[in-house]
Amino acid sequence: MRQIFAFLYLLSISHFLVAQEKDKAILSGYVKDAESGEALIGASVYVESLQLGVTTNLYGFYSLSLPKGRYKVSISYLGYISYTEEVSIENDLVKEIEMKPNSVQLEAVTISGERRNENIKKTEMSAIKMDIKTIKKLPSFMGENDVLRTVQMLPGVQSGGEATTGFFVRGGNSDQNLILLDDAPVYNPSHLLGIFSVFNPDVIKDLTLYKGGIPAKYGGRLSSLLDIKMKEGNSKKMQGAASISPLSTKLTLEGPIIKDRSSFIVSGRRSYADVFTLLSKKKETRDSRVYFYDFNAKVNYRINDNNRVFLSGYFGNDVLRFGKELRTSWGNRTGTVRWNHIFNSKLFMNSIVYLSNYNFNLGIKEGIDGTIQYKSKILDYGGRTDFTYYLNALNTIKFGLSSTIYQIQPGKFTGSTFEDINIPKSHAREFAAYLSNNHSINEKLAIDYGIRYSLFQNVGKATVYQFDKTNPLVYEANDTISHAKGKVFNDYGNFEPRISLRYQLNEQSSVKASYNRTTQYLHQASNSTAATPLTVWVTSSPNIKPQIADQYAVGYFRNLFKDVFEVSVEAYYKDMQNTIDFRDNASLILNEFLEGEFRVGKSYSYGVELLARKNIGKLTGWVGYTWSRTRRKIPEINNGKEFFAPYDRTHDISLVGVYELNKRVTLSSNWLFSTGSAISVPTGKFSFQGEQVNVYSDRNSARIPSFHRWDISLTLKTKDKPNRKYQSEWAFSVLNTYFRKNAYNINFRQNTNTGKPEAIKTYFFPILPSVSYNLKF
Amino acid sequence: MKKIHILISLLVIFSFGCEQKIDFPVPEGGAQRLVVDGIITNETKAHQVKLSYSSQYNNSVIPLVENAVVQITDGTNRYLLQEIGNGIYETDPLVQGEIGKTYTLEISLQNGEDYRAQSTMQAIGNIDSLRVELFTEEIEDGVEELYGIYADALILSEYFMIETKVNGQKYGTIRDIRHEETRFYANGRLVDEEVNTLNKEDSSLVDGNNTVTIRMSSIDQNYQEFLNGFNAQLNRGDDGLGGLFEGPAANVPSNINNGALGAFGAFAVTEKNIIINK
Repeated sequence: MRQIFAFLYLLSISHFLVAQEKDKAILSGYVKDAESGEALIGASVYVESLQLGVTTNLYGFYSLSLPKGRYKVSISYLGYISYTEEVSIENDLVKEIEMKPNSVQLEAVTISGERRNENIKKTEMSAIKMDIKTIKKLPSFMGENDVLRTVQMLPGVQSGGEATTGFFVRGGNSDQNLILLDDAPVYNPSHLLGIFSVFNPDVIKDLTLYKGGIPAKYGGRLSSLLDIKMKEGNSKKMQGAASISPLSTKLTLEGPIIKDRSSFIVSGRRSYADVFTLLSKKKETRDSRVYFYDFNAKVNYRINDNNRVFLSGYFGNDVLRFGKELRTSWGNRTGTVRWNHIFNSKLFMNSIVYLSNYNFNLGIKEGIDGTIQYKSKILDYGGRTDFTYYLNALNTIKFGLSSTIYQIQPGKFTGSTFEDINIPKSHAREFAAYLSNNHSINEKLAIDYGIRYSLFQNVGKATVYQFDKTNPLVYEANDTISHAKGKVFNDYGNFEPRISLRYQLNEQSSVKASYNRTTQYLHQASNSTAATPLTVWVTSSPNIKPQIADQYAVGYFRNLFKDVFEVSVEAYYKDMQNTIDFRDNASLILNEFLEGEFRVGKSYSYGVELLARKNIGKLTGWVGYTWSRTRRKIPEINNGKEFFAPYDRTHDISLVGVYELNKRVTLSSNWLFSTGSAISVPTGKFSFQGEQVNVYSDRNSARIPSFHRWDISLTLKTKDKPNRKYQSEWAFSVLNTYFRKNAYNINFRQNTNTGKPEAIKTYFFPILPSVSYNLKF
Repeated sequence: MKKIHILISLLVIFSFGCEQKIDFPVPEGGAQRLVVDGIITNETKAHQVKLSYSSQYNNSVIPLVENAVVQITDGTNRYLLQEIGNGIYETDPLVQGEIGKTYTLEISLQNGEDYRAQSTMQAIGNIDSLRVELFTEEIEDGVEELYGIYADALILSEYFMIETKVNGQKYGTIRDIRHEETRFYANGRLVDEEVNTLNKEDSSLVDGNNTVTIRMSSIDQNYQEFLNGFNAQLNRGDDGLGGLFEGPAANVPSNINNGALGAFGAFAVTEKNIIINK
């Protein structure tokens, strides 16, 4: 705790260290979409004559310190019409900038004299930003353009398999991704057991994936940050959208509450795959239901130029009912209250209070009167205050504090003839403070350096088991220590340095390097690559040390053909300590000795990622290639020998293209390839009491066949008519065009009839055509 | 407890996974390992240990172990087991295990390799009563009739397994052994708990009276782990999703040292009979 105070003290003095420069003035404000009033994230405000510029922050705010005078200020943002404006700056000036969205036919206009090489100039690396418009143009999966499925197509990101939206970043496990929806963490991002993500594309504004170089502001997960922002709602006019696809129906409404001051957006979605179960001949199947629904809402209110508040929420549920026998449901709820405050043109504050909750419930009818109930839950709430201090044109300082409270109910089992099992709730807290500075040393060299300190505490009431570890196969609990309610009985503190550096070679190219350390105190007890809804999260404790990762990355960034192509090559090495794995045949559910199932060791990952992206023109898209290796070394697994992580993929290719044929017709296509996942194969078998089972040699030493798939889509818009109040489009998609039966897994077993061993592959998707109808009004 | 595991597979009833047999070359040359199947109980009988070897994946012949020296000791007494053929070694028929004693199995193979395993016999408790009930269940094409066998019992050990005999013959295979942790039952009591179901059409049931024996054994944690691991492998990928939510394929754990497979256990046993009139 003392370290935190020392750190805070440092923060406070740094704030006052530098006095205001007298002959300078500050240009600041928000950049917004002229049609909807949405804040634009990452828009560039640039003064050509001084070669000085900034991009808007996550809330669309910018601040630029300039010598007093008259300047031509260029404003540009991808997908919007760039323009240059003369601004005279004598005193600090607050300027709200509105930008008009760009449509294809205006494309020729946009290529003139603007600053598009932001990717070359910023210090940030290993980050990919995507707006929802790009995602929506790609081939859809059963009529849904899923954000996580798009994330899976980026270099450095591995998918857990076709049927799942789980993803793995640079050798990190899927629980090492911090997924934020409007700043609230989402614990289970999947619907229908992973076929879809919980993010409704109609309310998402954009997303940024950080595979490395994670800003000091964020922590708590080792591998990545996926920052998803919801739209704010059109503040100019009412509008709506509806869509119908084979899987779901969506309806979205947005508009001003008070024009230019307050707006809202609400959206709901429900799937109806369960309609098909009605066609079944079996009564039990007819009585079965499988569906999900979710609901997003957000309102914002601009109190005055310096104060804005936002309120956003999500709730969704999956329901699975099987006859009258079984009913399960699971879902997330998140809520965020955000306050943006501008102290002055140099100091911007963003404060957040959030709550996130994930529930899993299950009921099974047992006998005539009994019902077995199973429940598990995780609750995470907290707050964060972040400051951005635009010290001068060369330094932008960011600092802040955060605190999180975790409450986990790992599992409660009641009813029936079984004894009730109630795994005690666990309580923990996590605090963090950070300070970072983005410093442009000269025209060529810029460094973003920062440090984050995180402190984790386990809080009673709790019973901690001590394990006898002499038998590596089974740890036996041999002692318990009880801790009183409210008592902090264990803590971990970690400094997490974050540094990135950019050296600009010329206007079109730069090299970047970064190092960052991340720490994770919350772990998922799961040993499959798919995300089960029965997720059990476990906090660090005296038995489970926090996971720590050190990542080193270097990259070369180059823009070609007048910034039409962005090309980058990045190489990384990641070293992870206290990597979590589980003993063979681990029991992860309703196990009060769960910590005894953990087997801890080291892992490392390295790789090279190539990305060529074209964001402008009739043809847009990207080509991504990743070569990587991820290995684990856990003393008690695989006889202590190194083995491949199950999500290790040597090669990974994605080709994604969108072609806007004309105003009404858009074609898109993607082709994905990856090395098959690592599996264990039998080298022998043995017989015991009339049954045969396999003997495996090394863990994950073989590969399932490579995965590849080609998807295409065609979007047809209705003709624009002057009097028409709505726009509509038909979207046709064909997934897995050449019907490759991509193996999700291969299992080896004895044929029950012949007794002969056989290899059985499981695949999920045949060729999958779909059509959806989207309406905007 | 089994229910919880069943429900995980129920979660995937809308399984859309398709299965296909493929050719997948497996590496040749896995080492031949000793496989032990040995149990000593508190019954007075010839207790058996069966020894075999693991085989190559594509080979269906099970090599048996001959001329091994097999002994069981409780620290005071030492029993030498006689080879009776088929890889089976057995004790003198008057040997009876004692609750509370720790038994060590010692095996010396002809090639000089030695193996050991240990297990402590815990008290089992007793079966108070059994009842049987005929019920029907909907299946794909019609209904089937099943006998449900329900038991009231008290279990004293941490883990237990339930086996069934029909007319003196063991029913089913290792697949059909039910094995559980006692902590899931209030005060270790099974109250009208369904311990097994027998299909009325099962070939082991004859017309007229059938004696069905429910046999409960006080297994130890190692044996429980062995049965868990064995069944996990037998059922691997059976969720119709290719084991979407399963962990990595793993070897069945064993309590025999030196890399041998299988299990050795010292169990107390209690049995009760019920007559089913078909």
